[in-house]
Amino acid sequence: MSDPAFPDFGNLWRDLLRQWEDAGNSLGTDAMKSPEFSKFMNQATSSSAALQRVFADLSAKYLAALNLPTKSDISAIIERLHAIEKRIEEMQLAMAEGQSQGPAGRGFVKPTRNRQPPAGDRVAAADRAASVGGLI
Amino acid sequence: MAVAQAAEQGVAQRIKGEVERAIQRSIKGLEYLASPAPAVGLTPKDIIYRRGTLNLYHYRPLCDDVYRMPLLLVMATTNKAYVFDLAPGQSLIEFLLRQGYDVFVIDWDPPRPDEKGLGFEDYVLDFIPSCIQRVQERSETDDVTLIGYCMGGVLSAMYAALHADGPVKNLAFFTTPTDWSQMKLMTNWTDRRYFDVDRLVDSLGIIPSDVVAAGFDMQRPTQRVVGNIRLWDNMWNDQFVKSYRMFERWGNDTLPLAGEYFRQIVKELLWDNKLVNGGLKLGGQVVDLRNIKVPVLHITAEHDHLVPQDCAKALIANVGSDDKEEVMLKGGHVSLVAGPNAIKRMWPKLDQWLGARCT
Repeated sequence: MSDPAFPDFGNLWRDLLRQWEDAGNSLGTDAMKSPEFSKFMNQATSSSAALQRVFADLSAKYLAALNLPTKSDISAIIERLHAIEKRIEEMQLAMAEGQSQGPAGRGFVKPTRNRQPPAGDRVAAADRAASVGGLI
Repeated sequence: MAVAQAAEQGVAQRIKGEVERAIQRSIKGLEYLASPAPAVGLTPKDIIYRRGTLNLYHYRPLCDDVYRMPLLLVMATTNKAYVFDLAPGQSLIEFLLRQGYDVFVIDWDPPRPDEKGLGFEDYVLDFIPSCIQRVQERSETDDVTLIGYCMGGVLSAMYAALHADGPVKNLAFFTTPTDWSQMKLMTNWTDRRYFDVDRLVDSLGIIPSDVVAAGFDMQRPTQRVVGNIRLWDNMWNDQFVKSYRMFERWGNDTLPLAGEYFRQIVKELLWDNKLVNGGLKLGGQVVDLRNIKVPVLHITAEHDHLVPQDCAKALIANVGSDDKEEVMLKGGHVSLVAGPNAIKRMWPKLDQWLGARCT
C-alpha cells in the first residue's frame, strides 16, 4: 500500500496517463461528432484528393515526355503479373489436390467425427433442444 | 520510529525498482528497435482455396476425434485473420483445435486493382458459398457452423438470411455491427451532405488501407501516443512487449477495401441502415435477418469503441431464431478475441456453446 508521506510517483504518473487518455479520447470523439467537423474533414479530404490528381496528371505528362513509364503503365504490368500468379496458384492447387488423392494425403490424417461435449454440457444441450422443440 | 523506518525502506525499495526498470528500458529498448517483427499465425494449416483477395485455410486437426460439424470462421475484410492465431498459447485457432473442432478460416489479401468492383454480392453469394462447398468436400460433412467477426459477421449474417435452408446449422458472431445508425462517429464522417462516396470510389478504385486505418484510429485519437508511452514504460516487461508487438503488427496490417464494397457499406449500411430498416437486396433477394432460424450466439465487448453495444445488440433482436443468445464480456473489440482476457472469458464460452451444437 502506498504510504501517504511517500507517494508512489510511478503509479501516480500512470493514473494520470490513463486519465489523460480517457479525457483526450472523450474530447476528441465529442468534437468529431459535430456536423462542422464532418464538413471540414470532407472538404479537406476532397481538396487533398484534387491536389493529388493534379500532381499525378502533371507527373504523368512529364514522365511521358521523358519516355519513362507512368503509374498506369506500371499498374498494367502489375495486373498482368497478378494474372500470371493467379494461374500458377491454380495450377499448384490442382497439382497438390491430384497428388494428395484427397485430404488423406500429404500428412493430413482424417480424424473421426464422433466427438461429444463434456457430460454436463450434453445434459444442458438436451434440455435446450427439448425447450426449443416445445416452442415450435 | 519503527513505522518511519519501514516507510523509508518501502520508499527505498520502490526507488530501487524504478531505477532497475529504467535501466532495463534502455537495454531492451535498443533490442526492440533492432529485433524483427514477431512471428504470428504459426498453427499448421493448408491453403485449400485461393482466388484473388480470398483465401480459405484448413487447420491441421490436433485431435484424433473431432466434432461432426466443421467451423468456418469469416474474418473481417479490414484485417488479417492471424488475430485468431497470434501465438502458441494465445491462439483461438489452437484452442478450438485442442477442444476437438475441425477449423477452417476465410482470410483476405489486399484486393487487386481488377477487384475494385467486388461488392456485397461477390462476398455473400460467391466467396462464402464457394468456401462452404470446399469445407463440405474436405470434411465430408454437409452441415457447417459459421462464425463471423465484425464485418465478417455482417457478411455471414447476410449469407445466412439468404440461405435459411442451407448448410449453415449454427451461427456465432463476435462484435458484429448491425444497427449502423448507432455508429455515431462513422455516420457523422460519412454524412451524405458532405461525403461524396461516389467521387471517392470512382477516383480511387480501391480504398487505401491508410484511409481504413485512419477511420479506426480516429475513434480513439490518443491511442497511438499513449500506446507508445505505455510501451516505453513497460519496456522492461518481456510479456507486455511481446503482446504489444503482436497486436501492433496486426493493427498495422489493415487491408484496403474494394471500392464497390466500400460504396455499399456507406450507402446501404451507414446511410440507409438496411440491415435493420430492411430493403437490402443481394442477387435480387431481400436480406431479412428474420429468416435466420438456426441457433445464434453473439459475443459482444463491453468496451468496444468500434462497435458500440447499441449497434451490436440489434443482431439478436432481429434474427428469427428461437435458440439465440447474446453475451457481453469485458474487453474491447480486439481483446475480446485475442489476448489474456479472451483466453479466460470468450474462448470457454464459445467452446461450451459450440460443443453442444456441433455434434
